[in-house]
Amino acid sequence: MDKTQLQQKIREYYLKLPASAQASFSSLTWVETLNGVFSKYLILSEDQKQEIITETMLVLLGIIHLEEYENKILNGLGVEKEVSYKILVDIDKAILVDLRNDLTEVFNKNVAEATEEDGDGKESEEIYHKDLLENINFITSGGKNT
Amino acid sequence: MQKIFSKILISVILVGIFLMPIGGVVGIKNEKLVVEIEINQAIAQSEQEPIWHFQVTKTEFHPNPNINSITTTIFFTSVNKPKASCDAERTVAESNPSYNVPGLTIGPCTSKDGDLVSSTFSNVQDSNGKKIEADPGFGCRLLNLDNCFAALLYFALYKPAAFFAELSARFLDYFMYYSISSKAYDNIFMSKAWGAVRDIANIFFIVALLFVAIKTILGMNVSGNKKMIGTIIIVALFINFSLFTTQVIVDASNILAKIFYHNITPKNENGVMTASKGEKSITVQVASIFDPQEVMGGPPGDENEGTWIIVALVSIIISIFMIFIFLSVAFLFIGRVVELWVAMIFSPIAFASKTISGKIPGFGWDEWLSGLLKSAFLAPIFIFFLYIVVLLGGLISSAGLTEKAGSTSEGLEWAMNVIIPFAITFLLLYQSKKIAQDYSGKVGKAIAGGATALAGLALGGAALGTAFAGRQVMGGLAAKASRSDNAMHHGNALMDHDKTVQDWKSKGSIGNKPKFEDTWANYKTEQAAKNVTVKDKLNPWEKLGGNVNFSQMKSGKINTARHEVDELKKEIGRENTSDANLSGADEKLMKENFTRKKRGDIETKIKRGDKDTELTTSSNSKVLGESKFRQVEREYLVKEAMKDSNNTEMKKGKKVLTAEAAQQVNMNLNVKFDEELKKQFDKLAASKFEKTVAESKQSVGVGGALMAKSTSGSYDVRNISQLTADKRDGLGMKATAGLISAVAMGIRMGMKKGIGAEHGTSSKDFATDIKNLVGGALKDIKIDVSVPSGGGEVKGKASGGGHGGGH
Repeated sequence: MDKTQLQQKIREYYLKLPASAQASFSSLTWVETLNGVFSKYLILSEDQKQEIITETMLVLLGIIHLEEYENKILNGLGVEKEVSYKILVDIDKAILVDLRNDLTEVFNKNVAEATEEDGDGKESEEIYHKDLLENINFITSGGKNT
Repeated sequence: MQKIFSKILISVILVGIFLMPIGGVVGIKNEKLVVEIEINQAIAQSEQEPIWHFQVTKTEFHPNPNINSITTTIFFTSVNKPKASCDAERTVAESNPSYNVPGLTIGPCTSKDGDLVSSTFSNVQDSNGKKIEADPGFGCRLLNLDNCFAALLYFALYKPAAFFAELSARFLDYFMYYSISSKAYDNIFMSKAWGAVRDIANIFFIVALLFVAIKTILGMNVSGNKKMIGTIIIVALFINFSLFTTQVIVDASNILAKIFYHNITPKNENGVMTASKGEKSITVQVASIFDPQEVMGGPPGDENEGTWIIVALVSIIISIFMIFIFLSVAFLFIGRVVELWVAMIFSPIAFASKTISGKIPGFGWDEWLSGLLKSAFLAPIFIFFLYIVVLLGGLISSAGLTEKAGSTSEGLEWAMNVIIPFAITFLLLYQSKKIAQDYSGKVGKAIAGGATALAGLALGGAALGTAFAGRQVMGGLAAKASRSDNAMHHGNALMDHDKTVQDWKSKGSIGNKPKFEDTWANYKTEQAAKNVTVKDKLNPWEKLGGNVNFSQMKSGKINTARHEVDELKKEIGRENTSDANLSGADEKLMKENFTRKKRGDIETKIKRGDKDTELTTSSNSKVLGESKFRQVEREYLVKEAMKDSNNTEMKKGKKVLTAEAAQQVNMNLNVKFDEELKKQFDKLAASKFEKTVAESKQSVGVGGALMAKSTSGSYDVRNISQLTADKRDGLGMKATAGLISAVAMGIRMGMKKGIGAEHGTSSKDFATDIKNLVGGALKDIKIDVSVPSGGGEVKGKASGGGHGGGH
């Protein structure tokens, strides 16, 4: 993606965010907050810092799930688990804590919207999805709902 | 379908809410048929009289070891039982006392409520006649500082903490009851304040009428004025009924809350079971899950100071948490009362705001209605969850998790038995509070928008559990379910049906779409021919397994086809070219290569006589397999050759083919077979090629891909991060998997290359570039600065384009 495409994507996903998440994202204080967090962990390389910034942007835009984000930070940075865990906790407290519900919701919404657009897939999936709800009800009712 | 279901559910709930105040009973009383209609007004709770109960409910030892005394409080609660029954229970209570208190005489039963005897008695004995020692272990002396610390802990921390915990519990009990009682919303201040606001709102009405009058006099838009007068009159009517309307909503929510409130096992403030429908101690019921009174009893068998200090510390911590959770919930209910008062008082303004196009900040219709519904429905939702907490508490107790009197656990085991039930209860209560706040907000918004979130209110709890449970169990169950024979049959039938549907589509979707029921019937018939019995109706387990098998077979098949097509493209140098961009020559080359590669397989199938590989003999017979073909064809060729006398000779009196003719027949047979094989091969190869290409273009679909993965992971939307989308997948699959893989990967790569900062430059430069990038992306978007920010340190003062520009 070039810069223009990146901006288009950011804009596209930004517009799907709820107001509170939009305000947080557009204020860009999250970037400063991340820089503040980085100053506590001198062990982080520039690449790792950039990766954290990028991943944070993705999660704030609802492009990736919070769990995916947490997994990336915890396991994908290449630093000790203990350090990455502390970084994650710091970021969570400073940026994500109040937005968690909104971000999960918007991510799910993005997924749902994408799924709804899947016209080709729907037709062929129609048959075997027919019983899916019945199956889930059956399982979650402990086998009573036959 | 889901929307219709949601609407039906909402309607049922709403009707239920409004019919709830009325309940009917038909029965026979005094040999007469009696129909009773009960109107449950929130304001008038009929007090059922409690039963007689004798119980030593509170026992305090004197902390001074030199004073051997005990304060025993005995409550007598009353009535609703005949005197004879009361006397009988009293006798039982006297003959089986919790404590033997010499000198105490329980008086005769009276019809009065709440007779109370509370006094300090010496020489208290337990039911075995053993004297109860009152010393909790203090003996603070200069050389025994441990005891001093214990005493300090007891008096300076435990006692105040316990006192405040009790206070906060009473506080919560009262305000929970008060908040759902109509008394809270029916007072003179309220009606006077509402009257004042209503009068102000009526001024709008007068001004509006004057405005219309002037317009009419001036002949401006006379036809529109008539309509406007109608609107004004309707709104004026609503303004004057705004208090009533608001109270209906508040009462409805209170009645709904009381259903759950009264279903919580009733105990009064002394922990005594009661049938009272009045105020009750919910906190006693909640606290009974972890039984704080038992905690100070300490672990049996340990009586040294060290243990006692640990016990006291645990008690103090529990008390502090209790204070926190009880007070925070109490304030939630106080806040509810205040918000509902405000909503009621300002309801005329909210109704009036419907007539003007501009918004009245803080009192606009939408804001008012959303706030009213949020506050009103907070109570039933929270109490519903509280009810669930108490139910779960019962399960915790019955599972033997709690530390009860008589327990023999010690040390860490004791601590865990105390802490775990408490932690569960605390977390459940805390989550209940959060969920109630979240859901009540959503309910408010949804009803205000005429949307469907009331279904969420009703199903919220179940949905949470369902989603969680579903994710947890689906993976393992799906694998298990897919292994049964019937699941395999269902999967195979689904595959057959899929093929039938694809064929139907490839032929232009002419006629009715094939039904699975028909395919299933055919499948069963085929199996029956093989002496395999298939059940008529499969249970959901088997269907689930069948779906998993089908998804896996189908996605496997599609993936294989995709791989084959990609290989063919690679061979002709068209790697990464989409199907739409392939030329006719490309397709021809691919087909030739495919045919060449598949020759061996297909010919073997034809020779073997697999299904759909029929060969046509010269006599136009359709046969399967090489040997059968040769047999039938040879008979034909011999018969034909025999017609010519030059080809025959007489041997042992029989007319037979000459050696040359027989050799010619063999040659002709081989030629015929080769021709037929080629013909059939070309036909099958072409069909197989088309099928492979068509399969490669099919979409696995998000659901199918997740289902196919369900045996290796949990069936969870978050699994999409583990899926990869092919370029031929449907838009949904691409977009969904792409949320992680395509979009996210694209952005990740773009961030490294395309935003101006080279990878590896200082993070401050990168941060500046990010700001410029985002600023540029959002520069034309109007950003609402009034919305409070979500992030902890985010101030919410964004300005559109403020971060724009290059760098």
